[in-house]
Amino acid sequence: MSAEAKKRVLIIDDSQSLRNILHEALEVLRFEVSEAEGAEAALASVQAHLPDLIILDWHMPGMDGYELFLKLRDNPQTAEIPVIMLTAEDRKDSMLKAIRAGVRYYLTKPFTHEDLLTRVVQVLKLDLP
Amino acid sequence: MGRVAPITEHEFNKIRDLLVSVCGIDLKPDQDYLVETRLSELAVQLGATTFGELHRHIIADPEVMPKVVDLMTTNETLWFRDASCWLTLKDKLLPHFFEQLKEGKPKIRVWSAASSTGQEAYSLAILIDEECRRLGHPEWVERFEIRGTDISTAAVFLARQARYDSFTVSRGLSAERCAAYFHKEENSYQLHQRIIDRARFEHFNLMESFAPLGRFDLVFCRNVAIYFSKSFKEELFEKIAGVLNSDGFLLLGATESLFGLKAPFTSQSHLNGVYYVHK
Repeated sequence: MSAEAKKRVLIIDDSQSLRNILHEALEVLRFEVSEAEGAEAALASVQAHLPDLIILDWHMPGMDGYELFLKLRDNPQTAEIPVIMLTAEDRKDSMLKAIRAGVRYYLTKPFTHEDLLTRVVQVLKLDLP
Repeated sequence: MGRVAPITEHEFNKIRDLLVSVCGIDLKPDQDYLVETRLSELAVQLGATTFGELHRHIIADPEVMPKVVDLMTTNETLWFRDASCWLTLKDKLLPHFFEQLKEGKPKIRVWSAASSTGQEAYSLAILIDEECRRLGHPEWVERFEIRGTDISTAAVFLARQARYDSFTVSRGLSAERCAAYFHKEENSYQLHQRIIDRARFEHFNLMESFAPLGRFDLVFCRNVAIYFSKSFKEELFEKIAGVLNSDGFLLLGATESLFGLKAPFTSQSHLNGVYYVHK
């Protein structure tokens, strides 16, 4: 992957330790990774640089991940950014609500790095010949 | 604003029946949400607006079912998974292969039948490299051909990259092996090219005929069959027997066995490890 083609990924999670783990995992794919600890920081980050992909937690102080997703989805500028939800929220109703609203993949914690990276590769279609 | 209409009971039953009959994945009656949450993105990619349409795509296009299986199962792997298996390889199976090489056999062919993101195939390449050097025959490494296949094109893509984060690289890999076989690039660990070159990864669906793969001296089929029904397992092991040389070996996961299955293999044990040979 050339430097010009570097994909930009935004991790939104209130846990610093999880952001660190995800950051390192995504750097394996030579992505440009940025982080936000909550919805407000995420919206500012997205406005500054549109990411190619967002990894989003559900439960965060203030605006939760689902509300943030709806806000991004309903803004024409950000509506097309694919979102993978990565969360401890494992209730069936929540999973269905997110997928029906347009979240691409829903992964529950604890997750395997293999599952996360294969879903990221699929969403960004990196595995196409 | 759902991208695919919510799954109906009728649609779920059709997909559930298909999964159990084709590959033995047996979903419970209340797992309709799993189908909807895991397969919605695939449905969108195929242009399906209902799960009934997705079902028709699965039936009509043989390329779709492997993608469904990939999304419905979990990818998890680690370096040198199940210590007893690797001890058996080192103490029993590799010495057998080295004898064959001494006697003039040109190549030893190994198949990692569900190679995921590469750790199993590369663990073997590392062990072979270590053993060949220890025996004073580093040139023998080139006489081993390791082939990894996986149903997921994304996993194959990642296996070919051979690049891992510190958490992944620490799962089963000693600090000594990490230092000897990887170099650090920023925060990632890149496997040395000479080990990458020992293994080749391709997309392959275990539901297809194995004949195009050629014949093997060793097959890893670990933690693959766990998701599948008895009849699919029996078919799988029958097909493996068909591509395994008469003096070849089959390795399963530590918690797996062929007990209760009609399979043309018999188990042998070495130390705490179990391997299988033709009956």
